[in-house]
Amino acid sequence: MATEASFEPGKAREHFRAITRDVSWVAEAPKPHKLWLAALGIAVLAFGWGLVSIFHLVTTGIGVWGNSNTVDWAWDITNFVWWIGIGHAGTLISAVLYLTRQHWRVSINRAAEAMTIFAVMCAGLFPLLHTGRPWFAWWMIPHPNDMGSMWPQFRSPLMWDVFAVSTYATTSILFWYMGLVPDLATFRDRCALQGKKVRSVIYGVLSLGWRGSARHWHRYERAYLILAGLATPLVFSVHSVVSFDFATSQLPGWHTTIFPPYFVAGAIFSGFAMVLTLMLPLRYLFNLQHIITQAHVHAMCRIMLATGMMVGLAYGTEFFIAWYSGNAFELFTFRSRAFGPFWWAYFAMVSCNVLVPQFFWSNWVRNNNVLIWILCIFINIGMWFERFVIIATSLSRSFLPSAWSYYHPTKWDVGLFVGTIGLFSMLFLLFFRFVPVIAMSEVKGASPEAHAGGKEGGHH
Amino acid sequence: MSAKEHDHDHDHDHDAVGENYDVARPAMAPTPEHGYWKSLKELDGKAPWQLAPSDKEFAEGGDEAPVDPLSRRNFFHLMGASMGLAGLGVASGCRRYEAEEIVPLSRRPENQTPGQSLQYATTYEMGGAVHPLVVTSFEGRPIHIDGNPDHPFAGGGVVPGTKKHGGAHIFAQAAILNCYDPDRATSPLNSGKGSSIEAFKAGLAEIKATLSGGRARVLAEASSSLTIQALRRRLEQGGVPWHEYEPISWDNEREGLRAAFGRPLRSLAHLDRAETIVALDCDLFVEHPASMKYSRDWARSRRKDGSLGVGKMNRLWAAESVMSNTGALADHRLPMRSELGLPFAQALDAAITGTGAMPNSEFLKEAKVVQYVTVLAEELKANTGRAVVVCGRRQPPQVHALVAKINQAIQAPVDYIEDFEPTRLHHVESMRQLVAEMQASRVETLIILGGNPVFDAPADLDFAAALTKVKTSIHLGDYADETSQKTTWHIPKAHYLESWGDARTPDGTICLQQPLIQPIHGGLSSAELLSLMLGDELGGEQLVSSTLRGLGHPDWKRYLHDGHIANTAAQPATVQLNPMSPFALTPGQQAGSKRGKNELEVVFHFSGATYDGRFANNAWMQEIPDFLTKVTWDNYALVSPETAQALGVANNEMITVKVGDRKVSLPCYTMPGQAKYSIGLVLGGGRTRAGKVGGENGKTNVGWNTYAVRSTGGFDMVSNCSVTGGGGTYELANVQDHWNFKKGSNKLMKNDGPGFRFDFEVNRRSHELVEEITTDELDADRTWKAESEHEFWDDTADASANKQRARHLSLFEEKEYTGHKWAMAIDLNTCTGCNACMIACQSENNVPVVGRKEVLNNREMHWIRIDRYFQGSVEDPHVVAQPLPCQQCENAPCEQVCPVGATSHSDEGLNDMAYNRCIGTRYCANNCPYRVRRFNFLDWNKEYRDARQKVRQLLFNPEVTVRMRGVMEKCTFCVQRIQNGKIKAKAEIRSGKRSGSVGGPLPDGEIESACQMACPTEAIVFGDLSDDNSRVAALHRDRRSYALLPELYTKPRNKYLTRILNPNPKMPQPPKEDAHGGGHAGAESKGGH
Repeated sequence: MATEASFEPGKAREHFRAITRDVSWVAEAPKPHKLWLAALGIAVLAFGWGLVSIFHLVTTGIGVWGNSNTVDWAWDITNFVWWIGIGHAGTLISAVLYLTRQHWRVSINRAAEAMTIFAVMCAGLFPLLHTGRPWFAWWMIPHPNDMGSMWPQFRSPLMWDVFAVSTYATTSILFWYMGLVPDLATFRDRCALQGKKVRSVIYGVLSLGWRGSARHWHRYERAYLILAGLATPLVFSVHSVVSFDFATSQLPGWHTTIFPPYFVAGAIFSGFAMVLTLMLPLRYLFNLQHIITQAHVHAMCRIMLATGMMVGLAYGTEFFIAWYSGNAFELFTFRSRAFGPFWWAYFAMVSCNVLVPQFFWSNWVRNNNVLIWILCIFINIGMWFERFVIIATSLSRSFLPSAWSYYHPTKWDVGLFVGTIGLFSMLFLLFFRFVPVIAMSEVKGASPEAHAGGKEGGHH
Repeated sequence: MSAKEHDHDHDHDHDAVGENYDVARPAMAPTPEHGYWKSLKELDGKAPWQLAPSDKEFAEGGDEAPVDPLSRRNFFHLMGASMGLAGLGVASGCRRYEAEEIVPLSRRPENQTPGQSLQYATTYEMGGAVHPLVVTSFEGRPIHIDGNPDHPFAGGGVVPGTKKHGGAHIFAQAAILNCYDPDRATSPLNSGKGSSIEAFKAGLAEIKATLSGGRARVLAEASSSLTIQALRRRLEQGGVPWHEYEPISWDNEREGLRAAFGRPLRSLAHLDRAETIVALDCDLFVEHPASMKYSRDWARSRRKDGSLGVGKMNRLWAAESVMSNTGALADHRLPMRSELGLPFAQALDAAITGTGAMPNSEFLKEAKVVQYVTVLAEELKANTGRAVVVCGRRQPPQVHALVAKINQAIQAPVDYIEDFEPTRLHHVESMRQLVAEMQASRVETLIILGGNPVFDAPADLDFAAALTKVKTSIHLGDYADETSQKTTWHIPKAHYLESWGDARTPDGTICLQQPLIQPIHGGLSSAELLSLMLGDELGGEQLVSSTLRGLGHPDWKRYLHDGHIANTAAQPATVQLNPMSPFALTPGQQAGSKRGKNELEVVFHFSGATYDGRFANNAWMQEIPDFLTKVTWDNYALVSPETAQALGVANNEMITVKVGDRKVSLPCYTMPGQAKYSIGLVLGGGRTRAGKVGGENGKTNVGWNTYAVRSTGGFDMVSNCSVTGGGGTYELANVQDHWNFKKGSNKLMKNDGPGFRFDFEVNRRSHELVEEITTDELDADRTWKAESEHEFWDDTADASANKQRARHLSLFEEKEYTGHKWAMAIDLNTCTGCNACMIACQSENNVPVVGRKEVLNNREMHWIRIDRYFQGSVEDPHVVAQPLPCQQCENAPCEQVCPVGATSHSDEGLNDMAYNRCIGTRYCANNCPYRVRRFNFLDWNKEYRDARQKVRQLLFNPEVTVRMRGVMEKCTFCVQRIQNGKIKAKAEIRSGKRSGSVGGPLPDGEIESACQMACPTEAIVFGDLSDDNSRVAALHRDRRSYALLPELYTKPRNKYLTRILNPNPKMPQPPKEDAHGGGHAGAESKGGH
């Protein structure tokens, strides 16, 4: 069913074969696309710069950044939250949309999950590297030892982060990998037929002896359902927990109950923006427009419109509550946020996150892929600024005016951030070249040809 | 003070200690001749102990050679070296007695316990100010300075009936860093080239030959030493005239009192007996030679707030140009150009005595001034016998004379003390005469005892040029400084902690100065050099002890123990006021507050960091933020915001100040409260041969040399100067107001961004953070209570009710404390902003220095800081200040967020910090509402690994961990002192030396934090809250006490006591919190202004 070995006759078979061919072609093309090579080159360079930045940071100290005794967190945690947010679309698409039977998800879930994993990898770098002594970061992991006091302190939201993020990463990887198994088996078989021995052995090992038997499929579907059930709460928990870093503190501008839903909405918002940022050029590059169709783009635009407005509502609510609470510190922080020294960041945030998605009301915009891509870039920028605004403005104007200050990044702040973008891009480009970028089996399952008589609504 | 019982029989005890400690080293250092070797280096004859002694500063130290830090071999090498250093202190302290025998330490020397520090009394004299001290010495190396609480002049404390308290001046404390400064002069220089003391002695006969017939001169720093005086007499009798010079001199007062009373006197006010104190262009609390006594006495009468039930609280008036600590604390401050001091004093005199004529000055016709002078004169008259005017050093002798006249009229509690050296000339005049003689080639030999005249002598005299006409010049100085480069000989001077001496406090009490350590770099004291010149070659101890014995003070051991000779204070002089003829006014003095652009006044102000430049190489001092400007690392020109606008210059703009035909360029600091059209030039910057920190090899690192425009004609202040801007921008490293001034503007920022004013918010918060109340309000409202967490819980309610209440407030179970409850109380009413606590903390807790660049990055490390806010108008602001250590919250927000539990709560309520456990997430700092946590962003101690700098490690307090990069640090309430106090009590209870139970309450005041000990006014009180009778508990119960940001329910263990203001009802009242204004520009809130 998943391979040429399928015996189903006629049009459907041709259709399935076409899907397999089109997706496999991405990996099987003898020479990679020149643009792909160029992009990979740039990504590797950026990653190299990141490695240099990491080396300098670890050997010299956090002082190479712009952080100070007033703004103790800045780009480090901004980047962490931003990457974690980007990692949200993957699980949302694979788990939540799966459970809610949104079949359109199948053409993008593979790439979105990969993006999630790579984004979480990038995100994970920051909590590690932002510590003053990263070589002791393992102290955050509970480990049996004969020194009683070496146990982590579980009241700290940073500990919750450790568990939330690592659980999320683990589940995402499992989910992604499980979904890959039938398609890896397809690759294995195709490699074997083409006489590529090494590849066939590698894909063979990775496909875990998948044969496509009914029993395999049965177990696969069950496991997929269970994992989706397990992953769904994580979509909401990870960013909620990340938001607790701020919400449970006492700092005006951080200490707000709205943060968990606000952060989750923002994460989904930025996650979809990043999916589109990546998929729009790649589907063009690898000729996948008929699989990732304009309808998919439309759906994602609508989700961004909805979550963007949720984020906008949160911005408004924060201001309202700051005023309504009668808390002078809170009110000041929010006024300072919008009109204070970081006003430019605040306005970048509002215009990118609230105004930009409004374009998606228009059908014309939703059909204009170049424009969508540009708007998505703006949303990515806006969501970065959202985290920066929350972190830097609140810290720079805390309780005692004597401690007020400003924040300037250094080239090493920029270096590490660009480095993670390089790492992310590099991994994603490699993923496109060596892993089935679209869940072939699921696309086939979701296509009308898979259903006897072309009836709608049936499932396999 | 345990070790103060230490018997100072130095000749013998010390000797014995020295031998015993010294000897271990040769025993540990076998050579290949013994037939075996321990390292290849030793085999090559290159091990440290095999090098010639002249190559080494220390016999066994780790400072010999630059080492490759990466080599494993060198690591072990260093390990060995640091073990050597551990014994070094005691050993070197005794190296003046050559160790020759090798015997083990079979008996422990009396009072010496390895690992326990000892305390010795000594004295520091600087610029004519004498500071009696107690020095903590750890295994032979001095590591911390405190004031001597037993000294009759400088000690005694503020609050009667409590433990005696000293308090230590910031300069005296900070000077300990110079002791370990690797940049200090290490060997004599001959014409700028390295030489030796032997070479100097070889040529000495020739020099000695000139010490007669008026061919030689001595130029000395101010000194009250009897030993120096005796040597001086001998030189003078031999025909060697003596000149004395200090760049910051109080000789105007001496001359003024000479005019008033016919002979030179020094005045000593008793501020504790005064209800009205007037500081006329005078800083009572930092700059004045009696500042420590003045601070304490002022605090005494400032505490008479009715709650103690003794008398009335004093009222402080100040009229000055540059805002000083005194002006900032004043109940009424009049910003006034310094030159207007004369008409001001004349007007006051006329109003009080009715004898002088009202001067013809526009200034005195200004409504504000009329009101000030009238009300002040009324009050002075009404408080006859209980009021005093103190006049600052900048004011000319006429003003001092007038002030003496006023004080006589109001029967002020002022003592006049006979001058120690009545025949000497005014410092400036003395220098002028000396240079004239030098220029005329009449000086063959010039002996310069300390000081740095090439740098700080009046510019018009051109001391350096005159020096070229002197055949042989000898400079005794602790650094090879600007002067040393120009003299024939430079002789290293021993640090005050390395040498013997004596001094007299302003009241005449004789103080002893004893060495705590053998001169690290060699060197002589002034007395020793003079003795050498006179042919005696006596040691310092012999010189001092024989002088004292000669004066009938034989009890040497007693004096060494006490640090002073009891009952040697002078009797106040009886004085008779001379009739005074009226003083003519200059055009500047006849003018009003407003002046033309070319009629600016320039005044020279001491630096709270480098004093006159002498602390330029002291990184602690360079990084101490000025109390009012909060600027570190540079000197600047103080310009009032209005004047800056009129002159078209802005904050942080490089300006050129033209004084006569001399110019200096330096950054402008627009200072609220600075007198209009008066430019304050801070002295002490622009050193070119201070050392690595302050500037070396002819290049300046820090600041600008303002001595370049200081001449004999305008030594303290000078009129008709001008300022031009446009020199570009230089950002001064300000620790507090990083946000306060708009770039390129002289205006305090009202706006933070494009659209809204934040000055209202700063104003609102400053009123909440620093609570103030006037005496009248306090008297009117007997039920008044400072705002505090009492809204949330009630100290008087029973425990269960509070527990119930707390359950609604906190998610966590509130901790119960059964043992000690350490706490602090800071009285804002008596904090003078003298920064003594900051340096004390830095010294006690090994707090690193980060440098100008990192201060600009907002990474300064001080564990206790002093926050300062301006209220009211920019031209005449009200200043509020607040020392801020860690508040040691019971519900500490920092503790909850640490993922590894590196910061956690002790059973005694301390918010502890385990540096070893810290991984540096900085979350704790983000969650600290008081922003007291300090992160080691970089390796601040990196330079200590440099072989040359390693000597500085000797200063580290071994009780406190030196923090590595990447960890968070903060105030611990000096937890090491707490533990030591507890251990001591436990040991004494167990051995039956005292009664009490182990773990039970300790006597109040037995454990004191470093900041508390340094505070001259006892504004900081530390103690145990579980002891109801402790002072800290009483202060926490005081109705003035309040917690900072109580609404956060952090329950700080530190409480502040509301500052009490005592305005005259007829004068403008202090600004009140105003929801709609009263920000920086809210002049209307200043009432009548």
